[in-house]
Amino acid sequence: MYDPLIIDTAIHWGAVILYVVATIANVWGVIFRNEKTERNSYRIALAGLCVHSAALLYRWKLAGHGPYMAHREVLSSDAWVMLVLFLVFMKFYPRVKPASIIVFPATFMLIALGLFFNPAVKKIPPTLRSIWLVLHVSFYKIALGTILVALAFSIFYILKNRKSFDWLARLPDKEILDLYAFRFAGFGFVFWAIAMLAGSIWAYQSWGRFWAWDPVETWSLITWLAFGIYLHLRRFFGWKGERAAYFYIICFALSIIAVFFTSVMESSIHSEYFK
Amino acid sequence: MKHFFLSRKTVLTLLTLIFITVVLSYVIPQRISVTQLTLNKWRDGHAPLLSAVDLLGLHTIFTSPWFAAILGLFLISIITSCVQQFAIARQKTFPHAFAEAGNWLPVRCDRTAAGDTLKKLGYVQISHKDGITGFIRHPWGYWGNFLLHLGIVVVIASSLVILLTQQRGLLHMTKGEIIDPGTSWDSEEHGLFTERLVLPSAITLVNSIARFWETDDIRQIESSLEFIKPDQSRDRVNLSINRPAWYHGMKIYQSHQAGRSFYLEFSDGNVGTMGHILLFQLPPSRDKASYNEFQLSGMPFRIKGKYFTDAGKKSMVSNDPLLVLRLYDKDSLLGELPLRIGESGPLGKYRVSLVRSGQWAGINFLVITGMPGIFLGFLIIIGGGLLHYFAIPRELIMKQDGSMVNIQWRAARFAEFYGDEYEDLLTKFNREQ
Repeated sequence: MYDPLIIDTAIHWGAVILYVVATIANVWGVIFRNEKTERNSYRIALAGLCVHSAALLYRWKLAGHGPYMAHREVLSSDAWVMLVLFLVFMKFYPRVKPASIIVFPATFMLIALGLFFNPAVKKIPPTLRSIWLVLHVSFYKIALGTILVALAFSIFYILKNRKSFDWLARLPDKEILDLYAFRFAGFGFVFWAIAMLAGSIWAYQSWGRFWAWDPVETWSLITWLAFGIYLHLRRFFGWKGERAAYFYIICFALSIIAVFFTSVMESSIHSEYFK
Repeated sequence: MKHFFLSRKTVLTLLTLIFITVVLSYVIPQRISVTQLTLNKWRDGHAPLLSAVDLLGLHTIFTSPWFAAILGLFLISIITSCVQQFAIARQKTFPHAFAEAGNWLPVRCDRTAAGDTLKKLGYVQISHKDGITGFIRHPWGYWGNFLLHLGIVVVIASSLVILLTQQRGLLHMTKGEIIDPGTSWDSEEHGLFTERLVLPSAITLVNSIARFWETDDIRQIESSLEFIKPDQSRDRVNLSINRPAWYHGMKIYQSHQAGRSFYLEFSDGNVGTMGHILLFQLPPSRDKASYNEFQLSGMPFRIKGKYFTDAGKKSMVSNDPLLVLRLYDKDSLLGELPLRIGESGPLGKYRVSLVRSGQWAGINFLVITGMPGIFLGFLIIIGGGLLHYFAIPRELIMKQDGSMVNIQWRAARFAEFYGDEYEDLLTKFNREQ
């Protein structure tokens, strides 16, 4: 009889391999203007997504709860949501397509990072059994996906402004890249606010306290305020282009600290989530 | 004054000040979120900063008058902005004269056919004045920004109501102990407009049971409390995590803090016998310990302790726990003593007996108003976000010019994204001729 944790790990590695192949094909296709290879990269990524979905479902069945407890589950589901969101956005806004050269590697790196953590299944503690927690986590994942897409456009803007590689010519105009970064950052800001509020309702339900200024909450608020400042600078102070892109990268770094680091480094109600 | 609060610089300055304040609250420990021991350690290590920290009240940022002033100004600013955005949204959504913006583009189509095409595409006719007809697709999209800001106002206002009127107290209750109304809380908070919470009658913890998964993770903690009325009759309430109870307008929460209490007697030739109760949180598993640190009254030394749920490390539910105590004088270890119930032994200069042990549970008592506002704000922000980003209004104005119509088209936001839609529209119009 095989150890279920080995099966879980194996399926996840299968997804990682497919995503790595998709990334190589994608980067090749975009940089060397090979449309067929680029098209194939999306097909391979879709295959990877199927395997990845199977891995998450298997893990769900194994753990008896959604993928939001152990590091491995959290990172893997973050990657899944990010990729699905990107594919959905791609459908409605075909011009976001080139962001794949950031989104694809980010996807496999998140899963691979998760695979280095303890694979043991953690049973869900009573404080985490709430629909508000599911909403809280889901909205953070969506927010993370959208701000990653905005990051891709901010980086593209800076590259296009400074370098003259051939493949950069295939990206939309600089003004459009800048506008996409602005718009996706706006999505991220709204979803982040919704996630924070869902979290405060969950905290009230579980602890009778809607906001406790614990490190994760504080960092989350810091990030949201930073995004708020970014949006106001852009909208009312005419910030755009490279200056806005660099400011956005700082906001993104804050969001990564808020989501991935504070809950691990600090003692808080959220550390129970990752223990 | 209105201009001051609507000024972009005011908004940005207030946002930046709140940002800096929250960052400060992370860097400097806050009394509400750390223990006195942690706070003292930080103060010992940052002596040069203490005068500034104390002057500005940086250990209690969120209850300091200057933070209330910043938040108050921010609230006024955002409310003023909401009022302005409401007026703009109302003006744009309902019949109004459309301003011409840019050049007219002639299309080979009559007004009726163009109107029908627009209707099919979801455009709503808003006005017809001076020969100019105005259509808008997603007119409710104008309300997105207003609702986003209104949601934030509702959330901040509700938070202020909670902050000013809430009463809460936490008790670490050991089984069988009777706590009288007015007894000091283990931790307590109350708003500026309220008094300290007082229990309506004496209370006792009848029982507290922790249930575990097979992995030793906590599955549930359930407690039974009894309120003892003056005539000695009792009202029982049962609660568990995520299932709070109500009693006389007070909401009672089972905290996730629970574990074992140890009643210890310390004998010292000079002072006599002192009794102390040490509380430990449940350990993460049967083979791992739970740790705690104590500065007991009447004792110049520090005690560090660890406890296993079962001395044999075989169960999370056992009547044979193992307690290990260490006595420290600053950082030097004076002695170590493992104890099971009924055992005694030497610990430094003391003789320590573990007399009895039982369950304890953290119980939160709470009187709170304003949470519905947080829910409402949550819904308004979702609505505002959806309208702002997914229902971008597209305006089209049209005037007849002989057999042709002239049109102007614009998207209210992110116009560059809708260029294709405009092209499609023109194609459809020209096809209708």
